[in-house]
Amino acid sequence: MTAKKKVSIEWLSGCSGCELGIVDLHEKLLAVLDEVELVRVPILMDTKDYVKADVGIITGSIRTEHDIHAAQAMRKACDAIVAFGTCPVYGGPHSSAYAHTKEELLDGAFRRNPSTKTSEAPQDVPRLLDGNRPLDSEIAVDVYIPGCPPGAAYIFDGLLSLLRGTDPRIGPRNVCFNCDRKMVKSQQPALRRSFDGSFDPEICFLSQGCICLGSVTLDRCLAPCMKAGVPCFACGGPSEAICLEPQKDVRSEVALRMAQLTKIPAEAVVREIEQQAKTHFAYAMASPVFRQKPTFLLKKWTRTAEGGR
Amino acid sequence: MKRTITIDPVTRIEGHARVEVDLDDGSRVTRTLFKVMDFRGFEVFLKGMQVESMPTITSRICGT
Amino acid sequence: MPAVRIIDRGCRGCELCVDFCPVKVFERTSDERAAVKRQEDCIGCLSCVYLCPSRCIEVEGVPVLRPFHRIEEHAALIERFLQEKSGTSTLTPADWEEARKDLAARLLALSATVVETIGRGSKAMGRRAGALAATHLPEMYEEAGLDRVLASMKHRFRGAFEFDYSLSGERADLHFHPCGLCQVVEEAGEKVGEAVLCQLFHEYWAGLLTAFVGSQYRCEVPVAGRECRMELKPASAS
Ligand code: SF4
Ligand code: SF4
Ligand code: SF4
Repeated sequence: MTAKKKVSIEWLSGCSGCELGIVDLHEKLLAVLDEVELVRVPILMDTKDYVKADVGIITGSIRTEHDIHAAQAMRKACDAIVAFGTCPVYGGPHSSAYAHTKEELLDGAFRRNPSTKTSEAPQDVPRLLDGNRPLDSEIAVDVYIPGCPPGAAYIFDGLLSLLRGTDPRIGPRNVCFNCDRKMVKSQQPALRRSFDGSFDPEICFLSQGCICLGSVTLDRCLAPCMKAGVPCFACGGPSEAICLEPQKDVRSEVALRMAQLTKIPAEAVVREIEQQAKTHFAYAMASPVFRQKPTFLLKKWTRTAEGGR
Repeated sequence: MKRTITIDPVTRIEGHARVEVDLDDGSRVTRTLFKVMDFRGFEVFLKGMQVESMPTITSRICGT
Repeated sequence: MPAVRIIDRGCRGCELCVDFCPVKVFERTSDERAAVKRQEDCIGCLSCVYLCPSRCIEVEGVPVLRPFHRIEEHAALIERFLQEKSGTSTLTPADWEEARKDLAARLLALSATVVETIGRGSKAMGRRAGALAATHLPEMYEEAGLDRVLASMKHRFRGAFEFDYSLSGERADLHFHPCGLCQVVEEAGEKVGEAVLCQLFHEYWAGLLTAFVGSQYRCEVPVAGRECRMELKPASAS
């Protein structure tokens, strides 16, 4: 038998949901454990050092000074680095802080928070950086597995391919691929919010006038949300087309599809997504994939939205 | 002898924390500090988001 | 011959492929999905591949257009992401040279048209173009100050207009070495700095800065050639 590969895990700024995503492998976890030896897992083990490992799995984004040091220490200690989850790949849900300055965040949470007694930001903790950044803004990354958290099937495939040196088969499909709903042409005249009346569980949200981001989101989750009656909110990050083609955009792509399926004009959808940019871009705002798009005017959109409230 | 015991990072919890325990000459605990080391700013950036996204995004404060 | 394939499981039945394919390769089936009917007609435009919400259409065996428009970092990201080639890395220096020549010819034709139709108003047009472009750039809304704005523009213009800059107060000095238009203008036998393209570009910058800062800027270019020095000053400080 060949020696087991050593796997080390470190978390940066995140929610630890990804660690639990690994536990979601259930029995499959045993198959993974046949091939790996876990040498550092803060959520399970007491190892505090950055021990040498073949594979380093990093969850969370670069948000504090600690994250920079931890990422660099992991890069030194591990042969391959996996950016695991939407946070290290695109910045994650706290990407939305992009619409604010660091001082605004500290003010709202500590200095002027009506529900706590503090009046100053905590001292003697790792310094908060100016912005929230994906992992590859700091160190080189070998494998990307986005998802919030990534679905068990994708984790399994991604990890085993890395351990065995084979090509992963995770592919470029969008969330719609694994959604069971049917896209039908409807007479729906206007946009609806997901709490506006009832929705047919067999029919695509877009056909029913509700914005769903499944068609602009890379599938790393097997589309659980629509099965639970919730439209996709793009927690897995942008689709291949959005990443690769500078002129393709979340707004225009969703609008095109909605206009095809309903009587809602494409401009109305574009306008809605801009006005609610904070909601619709929440998970990947920190990513250069959006920032470098000449059409991405997030600061303008969020400011207009807030001014108008 | 006065001393401080520091546990950093605290492991087997979800998230980043440090614990500092100050002891006096008689090895009695005089002060214990639990420090939360990370901060993401949910208090602020959630403002202005649509209400229907709250159940899904607030579950990412601590993911289970 | 091109091979067009729909991975059935992913088809949601939106009919985008049926409606948008310019040569009608797809048809609707009785079970409300799409099917490939005339694959031999496919012209390889790849519209369907990106239109499909599931991304479940595969088109193989067609010469893919050279993706000059892609942002290299993103293409590299996707390659690492999906372990798939994005096509950008296959572009050779000869491809880029061909693209440059093509673009140069268009720019010269454009500048000739501008002079023909607007004449002496062309400077104002350059300015207006800058002001308009600014409202489409994220830098406009970042509130980051001139230094950050220029650093970001430097990145945005990389490869085409390489420049360094220095600031003194409200004034910005840009140093191009050389500017991307230099070769175009030289090859056309015009004088760098005086050519219409150069003037449009200078005024474009004045327009950009005027929009970014929120007060009038003007542009002077005391040194032009293989290296150009551009001085952008507030109009009030004359
Ligand atoms: S847009 Fe949403 S509801 Fe419609 S098919 Fe795609 S994932 Fe399903
Ligand atoms: S369906 Fe959308 S929101 Fe739900 S887990 Fe997948 S990517 Fe996230
Ligand atoms: S575009 Fe895709 S989902 Fe829509 S009908 Fe064609 S194959 Fe099916």
